[in-house]
Amino acid sequence: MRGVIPSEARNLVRRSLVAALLGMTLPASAADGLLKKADGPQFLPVDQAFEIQPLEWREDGVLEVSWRIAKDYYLYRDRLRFTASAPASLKLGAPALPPSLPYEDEHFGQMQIYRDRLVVRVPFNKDAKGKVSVTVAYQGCADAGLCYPPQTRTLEAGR
Amino acid sequence: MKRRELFAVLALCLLSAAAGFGAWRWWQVQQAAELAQQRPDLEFRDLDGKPHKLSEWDGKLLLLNFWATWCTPCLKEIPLLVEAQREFGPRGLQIVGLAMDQRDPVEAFRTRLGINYPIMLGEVDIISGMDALGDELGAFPFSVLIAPDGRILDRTSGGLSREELRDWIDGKLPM
Repeated sequence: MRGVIPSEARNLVRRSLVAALLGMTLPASAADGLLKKADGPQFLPVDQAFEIQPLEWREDGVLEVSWRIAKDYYLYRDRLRFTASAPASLKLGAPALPPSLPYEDEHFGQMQIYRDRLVVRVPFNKDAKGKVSVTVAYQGCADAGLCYPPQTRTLEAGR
Repeated sequence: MKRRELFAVLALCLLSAAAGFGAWRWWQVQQAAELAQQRPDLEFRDLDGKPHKLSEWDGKLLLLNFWATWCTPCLKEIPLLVEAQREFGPRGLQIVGLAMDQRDPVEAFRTRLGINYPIMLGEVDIISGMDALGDELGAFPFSVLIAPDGRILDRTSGGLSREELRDWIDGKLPM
């Protein structure tokens, strides 16, 4: 084959192919650079940073709310709220918060936070039957310097 | 000789096709990039309820900083923004703070931190503004850098250090 195709023509074909490849790739890579993000840490979406688990009806009169908290992220203890949504007869008692970690915040002073995993047991009136729903509010941040707005989720459990 | 000419013609055809395809891709990307990069002329309200459009700051290197008073990384970053506004303001930098919060705590932090640039205030409109400017996390702080001609130059989530902030605006100041 080498003897059949003249070398000038082979070079021309090779250069054309290179040009075609450049034509296909260069504009795309140029555009990538135009909208680049500033270099820095990549952050997780809120539901991956604080993965709330399904509401558990552990035993009569106790609901369990839990989160898996991603590494280098934390939830504030004093921003946790639990309110009864349904049925109207559902009444929640004081949630049993597990021991928290101290966190020195330069603007808000000594705070208490949770890392890794948080399980909160919430007592409720034992005469509630069927399906119950609870609205949970929480707020947290990433160590690398980002805070998520307060989140609310309504969770359901039934028996 | 005939075969050589045939290959030359073939090569030229390939080259023309490549050039045409490349030009078409380039035009497509330019169009998309232009649409994606031009900032929408959003309107926000300041602490007195007065409306401001982003085009009000055309001609300046505009740094939009979305923050909240409950966000420690935001509060940590603000003194650096105050410093940058003081130093680079005469060279055409305009920082605008956009707080997702209530008026009273924002007013208190404005005084406490000596904020020397305009502050806009809101809740839903702040979040939808972040979204319109390309935010993907809905978290704070979120900053956007806009060229004097309205092109979005860059965006970043999370607090910037002094060096990162300087690197970010360096070389983009109009004066």
